[in-house]
Amino acid sequence: MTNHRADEPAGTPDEDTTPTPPPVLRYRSFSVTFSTEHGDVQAVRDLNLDLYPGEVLALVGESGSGKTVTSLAALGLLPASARVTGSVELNGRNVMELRGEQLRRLRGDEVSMVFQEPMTALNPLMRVGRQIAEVLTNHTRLAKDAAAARAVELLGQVDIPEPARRAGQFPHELSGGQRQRVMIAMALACDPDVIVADEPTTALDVTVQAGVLELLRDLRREHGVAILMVTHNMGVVADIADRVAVMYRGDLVETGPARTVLLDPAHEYTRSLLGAVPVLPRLEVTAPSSRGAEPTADADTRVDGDSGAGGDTRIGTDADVGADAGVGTGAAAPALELAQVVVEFGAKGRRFTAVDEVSLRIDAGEFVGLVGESGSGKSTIGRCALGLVRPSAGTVRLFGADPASFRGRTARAARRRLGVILQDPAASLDPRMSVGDSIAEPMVVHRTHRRRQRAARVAQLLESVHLPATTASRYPHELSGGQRQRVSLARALALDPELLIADEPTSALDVSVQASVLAVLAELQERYSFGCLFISHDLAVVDSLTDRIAVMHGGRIVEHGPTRRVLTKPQAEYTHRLLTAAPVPDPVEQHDRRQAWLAAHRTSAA
Amino acid sequence: MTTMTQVAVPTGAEPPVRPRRGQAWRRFTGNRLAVAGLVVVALLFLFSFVGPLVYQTDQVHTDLASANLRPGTDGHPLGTDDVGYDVLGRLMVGGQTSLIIGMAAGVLATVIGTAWGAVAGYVGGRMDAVMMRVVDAGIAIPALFLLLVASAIYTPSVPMMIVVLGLVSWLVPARLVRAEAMSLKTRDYVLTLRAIGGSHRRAIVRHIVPNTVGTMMVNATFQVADAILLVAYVSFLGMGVQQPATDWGAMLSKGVTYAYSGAWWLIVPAGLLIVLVVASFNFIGDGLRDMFEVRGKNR
Amino acid sequence: MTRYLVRRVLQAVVVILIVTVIVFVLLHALPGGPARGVLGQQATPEQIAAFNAAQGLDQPIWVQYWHYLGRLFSGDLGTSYTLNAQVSDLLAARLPKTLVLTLASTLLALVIAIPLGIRQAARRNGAFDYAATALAIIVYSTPVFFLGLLLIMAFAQGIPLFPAQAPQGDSLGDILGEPRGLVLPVVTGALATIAAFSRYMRSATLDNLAEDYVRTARAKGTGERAVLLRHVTRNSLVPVITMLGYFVPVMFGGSLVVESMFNYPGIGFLFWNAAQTSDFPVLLGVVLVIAIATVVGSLLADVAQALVDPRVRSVAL
Repeated sequence: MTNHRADEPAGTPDEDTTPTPPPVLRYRSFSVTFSTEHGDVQAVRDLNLDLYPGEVLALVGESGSGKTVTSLAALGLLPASARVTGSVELNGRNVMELRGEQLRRLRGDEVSMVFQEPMTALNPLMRVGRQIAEVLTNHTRLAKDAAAARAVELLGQVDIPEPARRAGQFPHELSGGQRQRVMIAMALACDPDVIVADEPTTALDVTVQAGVLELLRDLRREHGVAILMVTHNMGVVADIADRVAVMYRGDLVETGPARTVLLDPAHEYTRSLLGAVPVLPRLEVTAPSSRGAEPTADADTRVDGDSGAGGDTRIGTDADVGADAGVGTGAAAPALELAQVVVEFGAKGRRFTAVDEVSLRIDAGEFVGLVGESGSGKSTIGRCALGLVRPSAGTVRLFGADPASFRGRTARAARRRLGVILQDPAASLDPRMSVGDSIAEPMVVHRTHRRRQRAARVAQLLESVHLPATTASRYPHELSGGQRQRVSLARALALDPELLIADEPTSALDVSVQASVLAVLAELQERYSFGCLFISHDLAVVDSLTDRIAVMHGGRIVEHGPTRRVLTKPQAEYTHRLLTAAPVPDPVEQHDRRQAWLAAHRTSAA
Repeated sequence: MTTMTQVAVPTGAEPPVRPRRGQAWRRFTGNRLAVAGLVVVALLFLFSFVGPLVYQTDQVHTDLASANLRPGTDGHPLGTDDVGYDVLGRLMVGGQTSLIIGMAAGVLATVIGTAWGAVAGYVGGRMDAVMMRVVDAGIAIPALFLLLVASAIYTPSVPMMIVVLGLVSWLVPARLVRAEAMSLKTRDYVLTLRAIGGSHRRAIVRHIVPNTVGTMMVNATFQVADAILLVAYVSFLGMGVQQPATDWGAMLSKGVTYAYSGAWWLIVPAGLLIVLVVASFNFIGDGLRDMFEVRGKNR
Repeated sequence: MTRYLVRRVLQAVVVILIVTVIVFVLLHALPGGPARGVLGQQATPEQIAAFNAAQGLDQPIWVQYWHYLGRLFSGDLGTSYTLNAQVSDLLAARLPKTLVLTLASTLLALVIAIPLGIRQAARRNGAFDYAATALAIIVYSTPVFFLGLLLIMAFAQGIPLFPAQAPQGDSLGDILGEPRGLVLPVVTGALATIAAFSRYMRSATLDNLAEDYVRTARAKGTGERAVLLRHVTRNSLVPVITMLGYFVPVMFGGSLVVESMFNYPGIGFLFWNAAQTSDFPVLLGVVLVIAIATVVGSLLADVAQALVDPRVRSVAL
């Protein structure tokens, strides 16, 4: 039925939303089964899906949905252990039936791929120019130097500055966004009909992500290439996709135009998935701060200069926010106080400043968000608060004691009032310790409970995070990521802490799991009213939980104030940029954000 | 939030990070060579320690009258050596020496190496630098050379060989455990413990060391194999345990002169037993590596 | 690069100093102390006392160590009491011969082991891979002397192709002039090393084959052969450089056995003879020289790796 498309594809870009030409890529009754140690696992079940020329189709789902397996199949890249039935037709030929040389000719030429993690996806020992040129020499008769010249051109096309110099560099010398642009240049080199992009922006910061998505949008417009975009991020879908296909545990549950699926989902799973996505409030300022040329520096001095009266008046603009009272009184001893903290890393000559004169204060019962992209210094602040990093200058006070001194009696007493949850659910629990022992560890360290009391307390804690008491005898590998983070939460709460420090506790989790963990956290905070320093890169996550947020950039706090105010009326230029870059799942609002981002982007580039 | 709870959140559906116990064992038994190695080692222990009770021979007094007998003569299934010891019986006695020294030295090396490496890796900084330079220096002197110097200074005996071997072969496990400790100490569960006020001692004893068990066991097995080989080398070079005690390496060493004139039974059985036991331990180590999914030590 | 180089060289110097401490301690652990080591087992107590006074051995231990270091710096490693020669002269004559033997063995091993390991990894768990793995472990588990004995019995006695004795010339030229005599020692030394290197190469190749960049290379239409040669092999060879550094002491250990078996006049053979006669100045001199060679070897390996791997290079810069 698709034989008439077997000739050279025209790849005409179709700006219209109703594509008429036959699909370039079509899945028919496509199923994949893996045999594992635990028996057969069906990764994809009877999938039927079409990708039309020039369109962006988002394949959405959480981990284990089968979306990545589906995307890899388009290039015939499934692992040898996969058993496939059905077909994947690319321009009318069934990719599943191609072998060896036929497959090789297809890959990179008719269909190419952009992977999730650009650092590992590039050969670390080969110059990036050569890696791009390799695609050309694989598929054309181009001579080596011609291919090299073309590689430099391609680097220019994906907006990498100084392409000639960059071509001679190795992957580790580029930034994350640049590496992903190199991957895209590679995918583009032979003008394919289809680019398969597997979570292409997941490993990137939001501001970088916005740029890469913009690039993909441009390429689609200029080259008319069809993009199959695998993602878990509904905001990304709203930003770039024409159509959406939603997968759940190997089944395709819903397909349709992006607008329809996002605004009026038909399937229950899609609805719950969208319901679990934390949403940013609507941005009220559409242009960067108009208060002078350097709002960033402005914010700096105001926040860093003092933690006293000057800061209060500014923060106190939204009078109804509870945080203000906490900051304003200043009478009771704060749970955590950082004053003029500077952290430098590295040896002499190659020193760099991770944290630059940061002051921050959290009072009892206050929920404070610390937000920033990677390298902003937010995690270093967390480590300072935990006493794991000693500041080069400035002071840190945890319940009045210096947390970096482990020996002191006061520091020890202060630590007893502290709960901790860290990022990685795979490493947050000792794999050789039972869940019960892990939760009981704070009680053992501080000798607060006898053995029998500990067991009772562990059961009680597990119950409070909605896990059965029998979980205590299990080991971390038997739990899912979300369950592990609940166990971490139970451990953090073991000694009824007055302050909880949470460093990206949900960033590695699927949205629905994240939503449930955050719900438990909010519920417990309500009940026990502990203070919390919540560190996150995700503005939307912070929004639903915190009273107050501080935004970090380049080691400094650039903006600090009541959550609602910062997220809706940002004053610092960087906060505005961050907010406009963060995609939201509402396609209409995302369109506005995209325009605001473009405007801000142009002014900052100019 | 109410709609959220209706989602069939895939709790516990994600594949386990580490194998359960039964699966780990199945993975070991899946490696047939490893199972064969385990069986062979068990048989060699029986041969060396139970064998002499069943097959009794005089391994103390020489009997020059019945020296260098061919296999099969006079109730000597594997013949006799140049001073009249029954070769089969001697293999049993020699096996005791090889196995005892090998196992004990392997365990000693692993214990010292783990303690040293865990402390160096966990503490880090200058302490680590100093401790690892000591390891570098130790590794720079090949074990065989140190063993020969030791044998030239002191009379070689089983306990002396164990101590010296243990003291020269803890260096490699120390390096491995240090590398692992360095990565383990940055794991969130160790950081969390430190943050809530747990002691360094607890971090090392409860978290670092238990998590290096896989690496340690795999390495200990290879250490035993290496120790048995080293003992054989020292004995072959004539600096091992002295007569009437013996080990397989010493038997080979003594047999060489006669082997060139056709007395193959003086070297082939001893040589094969060395290969068999060392290969078995190496196969077991390979199987354990599959079982614990330890990467890094390539051999 | 220079900063890294300076740091790495300083490290090496520290390690060598620690080695001298170990050797110094061994010297003092000798029955009767260094006096017996120098004067021999037959020395009378009076002779020893006189020697101790003359050599300053009645001084504090750290002063003695200082003097010992001073002597090392002037190249004085003592006098062999069996060979009636300066230890430093003996080493200078023997070391090049050992280096020739080990270099030849190592090169032979690399040439065979690298393609073997790659092939095994490329067809992982195939019949060839299983056979090669089993064989490698067995060879690796076989004592070098047993391998040597089997080779001698097969190729020197059974089919007399090569002499069972290594060339005995005084100069390096004499030895190289008899290449046939070098065959069995070199092959013996290479066999166990081939087993170890091929296992290492197989494992390094498998690690690289599992990397994401290999999937990228396939996704851009690179053929399997080019993936293996252009990407995987190149990247797998980088860790082999470090491995060679770590392997230096193992190779010296092997040369000790090989030289003793074939009467090859290198430092291993010298050492073995010295062990039989308790010639301590020679024993400790050899240990010191080998330790220094090892430290220098791993220093060179690290520097070479830094030159080859752009990631290390840019950190080191």
